[in-house]
Amino acid sequence: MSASKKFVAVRGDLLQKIIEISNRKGKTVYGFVNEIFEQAIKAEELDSTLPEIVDFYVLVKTLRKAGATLIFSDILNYSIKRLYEVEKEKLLKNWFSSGLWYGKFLKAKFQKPIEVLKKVLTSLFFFEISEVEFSNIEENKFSLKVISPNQPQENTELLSSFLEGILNALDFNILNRDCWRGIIIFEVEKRIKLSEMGLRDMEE
Amino acid sequence: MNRKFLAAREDLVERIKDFAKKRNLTLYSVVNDILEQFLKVEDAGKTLSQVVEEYNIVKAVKDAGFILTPKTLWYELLEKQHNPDSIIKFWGEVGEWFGKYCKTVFPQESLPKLLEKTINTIFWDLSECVLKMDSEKVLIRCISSGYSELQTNILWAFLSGMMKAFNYKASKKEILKGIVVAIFGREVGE
Repeated sequence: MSASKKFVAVRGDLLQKIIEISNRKGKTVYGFVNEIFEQAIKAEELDSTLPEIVDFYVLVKTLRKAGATLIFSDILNYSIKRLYEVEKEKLLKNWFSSGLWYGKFLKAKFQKPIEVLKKVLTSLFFFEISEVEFSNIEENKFSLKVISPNQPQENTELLSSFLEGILNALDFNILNRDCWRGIIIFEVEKRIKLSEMGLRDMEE
Repeated sequence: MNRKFLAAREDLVERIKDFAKKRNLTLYSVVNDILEQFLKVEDAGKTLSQVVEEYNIVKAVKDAGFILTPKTLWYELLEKQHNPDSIIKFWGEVGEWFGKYCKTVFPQESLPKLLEKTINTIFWDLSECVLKMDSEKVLIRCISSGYSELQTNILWAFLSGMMKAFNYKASKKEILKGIVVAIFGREVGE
C-alpha cells in the first residue's frame, strides 16, 4: 500500500535545485524529498535540528583540517599535570604559539572569526568550556569571559595562554588578564590599522 | 521569493509540522531550512545521512569524555612524558571502558561497523582503517604514516582494550611504527 502524499509550499529556487539534483541522481523528486525529510526527522530524534547538525559537522571538519584531535579528557589532564610541574614555561609558550596559529587560521578562513571562535570553544567541547562571552565594553574595547568549571588550574593557565595567542592573531591587544581555576577573563583592545586611520599611504 | 509546491509522504510532513509547531515556526520556513541544509551538505560532497551519522558518533564520543585539542600540543605532551608506558596503559583502560560504553549506547550496531566508526572518529588522522569479520575472527588493519612509535602503541592499546570489552583477544598481531595489523578471536569461555 503506498503512503498518502501531501503538498508543501517551498521557495521556488530551492525546489528548482532539488529537481536538478534528483534528476542528476536518477531519482524521483518525491522519493528524494522523502529521504531528505527522513534525515531531518532523525536529527530531531537526536535532540537536535538539521541546521545545528550541519553547523556542527562543518566546524568539526574545519578543526580536523586545522589539526585538532580527540583526547580522553582524563588522559589529557593526567599528561598535563605530570609535565606542567617541570616544564610550565615552555608549555605556556607553546600553547600561546599554537593559539597564534589557530587565530590566523580563523582569520584566514572565516569572515567573522570571533563568532566562529565562540562556537568552536563552546559547541565543540574544546576543554569542556561551558560559557563564552565576548562583549563590547566601550569603543574598540572588549571583554572575553571563558568559563570551564571542571578544569584544573594548570589547564586553565594553558587555555588562557592559548586564547591569548588567538586574540593576538585576531588583532587584539591584551589590556588585562584574570585567570582563576576554570575562569578566564580578558580585557582587550582592537588594534587599529593605519589604513583604518586614514593613513593608508604610510602603511603602504 | 516565489513559492512552489512539492509532494512528500504525509506521515513525514506531519512529523515536520509537529516540530515546526514546537518551535513556533511555520512549516514553510522549516522546510526551506531543511532544503537549504541539504544543499549545503550536497555542495560539500556528502549526503545528509552521512552527516547525521557522523554527528551521532562524534556526539557519543564527546559524551564519553573526549575533548578536542590541537594535535601538536597533544603530541608534545605525549613525547615528553617520562613514563610513556603509564599513558599507554591508561589508553588501554579507556579503550576497554569505551567499548563497554559503545555496547550500551549503540546496542543495535554490529561490531565491525561500530569499531570502524569509532576508531575513525577518535583516530581521525588514520589514512586507513579496515575491519573484516567472519563468524570467529576479526581482522583489523590501521595505517598512519605520520604516527610515532608511541602513538602507534597508544592506538594498539585502545584497540585491544575496546576488543576486550567485546570479549575478543588478539591471536596474531604486528605493530610497527604507523602500522597495526591484528587478528582477534573470541576469548575462550565466552
